[in-house]
Amino acid sequence: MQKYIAKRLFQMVIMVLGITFIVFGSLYLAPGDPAQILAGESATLTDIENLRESLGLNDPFFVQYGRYLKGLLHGDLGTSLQSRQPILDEIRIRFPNTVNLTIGSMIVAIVVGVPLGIISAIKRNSFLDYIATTTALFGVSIPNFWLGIMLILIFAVKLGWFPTGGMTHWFYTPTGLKQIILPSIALGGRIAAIFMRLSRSAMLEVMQSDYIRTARAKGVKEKAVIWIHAFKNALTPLITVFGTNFGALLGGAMISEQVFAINGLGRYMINAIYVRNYPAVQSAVLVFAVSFILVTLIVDIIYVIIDPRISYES
Amino acid sequence: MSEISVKKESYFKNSAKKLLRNKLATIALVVLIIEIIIILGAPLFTPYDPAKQSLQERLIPPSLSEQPLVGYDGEPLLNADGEVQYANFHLLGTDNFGRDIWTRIIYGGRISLSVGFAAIALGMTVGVMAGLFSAYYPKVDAVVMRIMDVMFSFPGILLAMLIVAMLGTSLVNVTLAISIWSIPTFARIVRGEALSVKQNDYIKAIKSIGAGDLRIIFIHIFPNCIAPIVVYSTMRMATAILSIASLSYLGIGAQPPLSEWGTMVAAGRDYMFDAPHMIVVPGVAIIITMLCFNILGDVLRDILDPNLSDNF
Repeated sequence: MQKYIAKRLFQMVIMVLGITFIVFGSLYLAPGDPAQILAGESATLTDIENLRESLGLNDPFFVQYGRYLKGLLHGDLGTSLQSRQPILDEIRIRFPNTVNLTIGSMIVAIVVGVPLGIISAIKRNSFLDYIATTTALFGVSIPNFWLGIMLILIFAVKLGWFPTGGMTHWFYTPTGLKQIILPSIALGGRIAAIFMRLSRSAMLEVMQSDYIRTARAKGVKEKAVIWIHAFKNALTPLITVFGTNFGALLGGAMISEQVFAINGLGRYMINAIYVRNYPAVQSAVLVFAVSFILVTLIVDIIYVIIDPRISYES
Repeated sequence: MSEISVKKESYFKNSAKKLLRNKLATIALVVLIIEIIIILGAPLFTPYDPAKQSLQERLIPPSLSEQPLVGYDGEPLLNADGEVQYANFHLLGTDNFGRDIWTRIIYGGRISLSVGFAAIALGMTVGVMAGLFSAYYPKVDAVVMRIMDVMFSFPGILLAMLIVAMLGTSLVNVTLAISIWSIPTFARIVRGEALSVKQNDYIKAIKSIGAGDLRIIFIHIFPNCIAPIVVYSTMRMATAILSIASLSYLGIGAQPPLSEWGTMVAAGRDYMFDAPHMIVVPGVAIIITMLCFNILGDVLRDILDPNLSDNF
């Protein structure tokens, strides 16, 4: 077990290194001279050249990359070209909102998607199954930005049940709960549909296996067959799916944050793209990618813990 | 001795028959074909120009008849004789610049579909090559698949945004971004399939009679990987169309005044109280297209990938 975790941690370090390389490489290749942008409009060529030298921009690529890595290890993500503030501070304020939104959406996705999938697998080809699979088909076909706007239009503007946007509190507080419901549905709806389809097929597969037939043959009650024998085994493949869909959730978070005016990391990144604030774009991408890798790692570890069939060594 | 006649039917003909036996898939296919015909022949299906503004006719709601012109004060516009003036006929209404929404939808479809097809074709070609060569040459595998792992660990839309942010917002860059994002999955699927095909005895037999590597890869291994490629490409088209719309909605895809479905939704946000049809109509266009590709993808998977057939 420890060996497995150590191996995965090592792999993670390699992955993160690869990502820093992509991120830094793209910064290096990005159009525009950072020194010129930092120096401002009125700077002379000599000023810019001096700034270039002092920032080390004349150094070879790998020297600059090494310096960038060293900075990262000290928590230095660079300076925002727009506000001239350390990017780390800017991200630190916004990241909790993104985490909040992601947790809320994941809850929506799991609470709605998994039970629906299981029920429609048990009642296969029934009217309920038909309704659930059709809803899921729509769920994966509706763009979340559009769903978000429609939710605002109906539930915030017409009915006035929820605020139209913004996020100031965590999801477990009453205000926070009101703020997070619509964005979570907009963002989690699609993932809920994916979970529904996957848990349905996972459950169907398990229900067809020999040991379920044996359980039924020896007279186990249908309820016990479903919940004790089948459900547990259907759940295991779903856990990896939770991990891989976390990436989709992060990507969708950007859109949801934009639609609901949530001051999160995604919105920060999109604004940075608009004004060509490259260091901020790269840092946001880095934070997103590293959180994705971390979640995948945690999910993988949980997976081997709960499923004894997986061998840690291989 | 009587001759035994075996009715020969090709694998693809057989699969196509199975596809057409499924009602939902047939409907999806027909809708998609109609959509593609309308989009390709856009000028034949509308009298208007997608970019032509007509401010007198702004924010007309969808209707089956001609609507009276309304001024900025909400009062009907009258001509010199005091008669109510009517706007040209706009089935799906007009936007804030008085542009016909039906026209913009069908011209916008050109962007969604062409960017989608181009991105998938490019991503598929590179991904399939990477997958085939990785499966055949272990040395290539070690390098290429590690690169794919890193690409995989990058959430797709982030990668797309990073590319667009660095290269600038243009449709070509969006196409490139979406195709790069599709590469690793194509590579993995093809690699897995090719690895199992490679174990077959007939590959060893062909090798022993002296066939070259490229011949084995492209003529003997590749055709066995086509089924999963078809399934995945169809599913991927839905994702690609969604990504184009999302990036455009965020303002980093197609740029105004180009008509694109995501851009149209974004433009409608400022008018969502007065003219909700500006948001609803392009949204429905995206949903119909996505539904068709998703249904086709599901049914194709059931037909072409027997391992999964029982589940759905």
